[in-house]
Amino acid sequence: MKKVLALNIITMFLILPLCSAAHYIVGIVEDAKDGTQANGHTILLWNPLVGMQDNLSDIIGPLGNSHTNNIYMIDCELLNSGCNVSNTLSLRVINNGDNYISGDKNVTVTGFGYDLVDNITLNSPPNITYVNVDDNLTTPQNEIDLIPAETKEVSCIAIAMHYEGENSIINATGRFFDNVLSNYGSSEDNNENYWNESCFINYSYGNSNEVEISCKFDVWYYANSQNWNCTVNVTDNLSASSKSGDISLINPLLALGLDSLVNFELSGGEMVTDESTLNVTNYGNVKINLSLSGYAFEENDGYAMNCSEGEIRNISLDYEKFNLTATNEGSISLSEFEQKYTNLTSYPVVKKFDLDYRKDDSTNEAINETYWRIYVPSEITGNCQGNIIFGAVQAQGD
Amino acid sequence: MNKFLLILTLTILLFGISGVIIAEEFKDSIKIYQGENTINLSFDFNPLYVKDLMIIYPEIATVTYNESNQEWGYVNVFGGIGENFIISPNKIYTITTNQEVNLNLR
Repeated sequence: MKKVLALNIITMFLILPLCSAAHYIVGIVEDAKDGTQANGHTILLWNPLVGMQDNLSDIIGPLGNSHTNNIYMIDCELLNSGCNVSNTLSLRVINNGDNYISGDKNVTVTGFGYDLVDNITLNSPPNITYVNVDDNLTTPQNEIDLIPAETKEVSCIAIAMHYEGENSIINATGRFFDNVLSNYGSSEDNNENYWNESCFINYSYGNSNEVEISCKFDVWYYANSQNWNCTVNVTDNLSASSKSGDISLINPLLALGLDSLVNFELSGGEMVTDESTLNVTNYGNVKINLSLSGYAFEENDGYAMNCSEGEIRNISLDYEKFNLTATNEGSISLSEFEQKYTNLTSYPVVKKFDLDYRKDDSTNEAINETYWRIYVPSEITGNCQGNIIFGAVQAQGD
Repeated sequence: MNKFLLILTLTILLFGISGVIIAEEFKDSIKIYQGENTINLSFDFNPLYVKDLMIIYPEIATVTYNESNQEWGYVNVFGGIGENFIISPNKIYTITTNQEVNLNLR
């Protein structure tokens, strides 16, 4: 009898290390208000004094330790730091990828085999039900017309609802990006990606679960002509978020700017003026060629200039010429003038210029020089004045 | 015998092992104390599910046992949650109760 008892005691000592004490933290996770089941979601337990890196998890419901709908069951003794009586532990349903989470709930460890946590409710994420992006021109819809050399305000309006109540929505951001050449995660760039990190939330809109979100973007004239996507991201007080987007087309913008008048000056004894330079700036969002024509009084009058004095008061349009590619400084002969420059005409003629649109946000590099001279007949005196019409035509390869 | 068991229990407690280890051999019942008890059910009895054990003894709060480095546990809450494993003879279980109970499985 004593031998059997002694053997039993020895056995007990040998196997004692194999059996560990367990202390269960159990509780209920209620389904989200939108009907999404808590079952299958993961709940995390940790000691806030130790940190979340030492944590335990369980799957809520039949697939988890509890084998029971909406219930979890975690042995806190399995924490690396263990769990002792009077420890306060925290629990939270974490994001499985569907954005359903919960707030934190605390429980104090007592001496008996388990502790019951107050019910946790699965938080449904905010839901964006409508997004529309457009400019202030309602017709045509879903098309945005930029303004030369300026910014155009583009509005992205979204409606979001939250089962936890509209005040749960605490932040809204927007990204407006070229849907072909950029994406939601790309960095800000005036050609293809605009951010608004603080969109306006109108809590007065709709019912107590709805808000209206307004994200505005000042879009520069050189934003790519493409389909653009406005994606609104809404975040609630538990950091659950949802995003949704809408697409509109930014139309091609053909525009150019000239920063000065052409001032022709005639050196003593010369018949052809010195070369004058005129800068042309692309104020649109496509590569451009130039269409050029000229007149003195009115279009198609055949004159380049009208002068104040002299026997002949008009300079023929044939005498005004340009070069769009190369400069020729200094005095030139009439034959060089004919050879190196192209006649301006009464009717618009498209000339290859290939001036690309602005790509640099800090410096406007979309500027090219044009070179001009005019032959002044000897009979002309006084001041002369005329007009050159510059037009922008979309160049190939853009 | 009882005196010996008492001394043994005190000795184990002195070594800092929480709970009570009871080795029962030929008794018809085993006493489970309030708190945590690690027991070896060495007597013969018909195996039963832990859920049924808790129906018979609702004072039991949890039953846990380890096998192949895996812990199995059952908690007497919400009608019983956890793995409804089989309680068999000659296995070691950790039982917690909120009051003393005499376990009679024969």
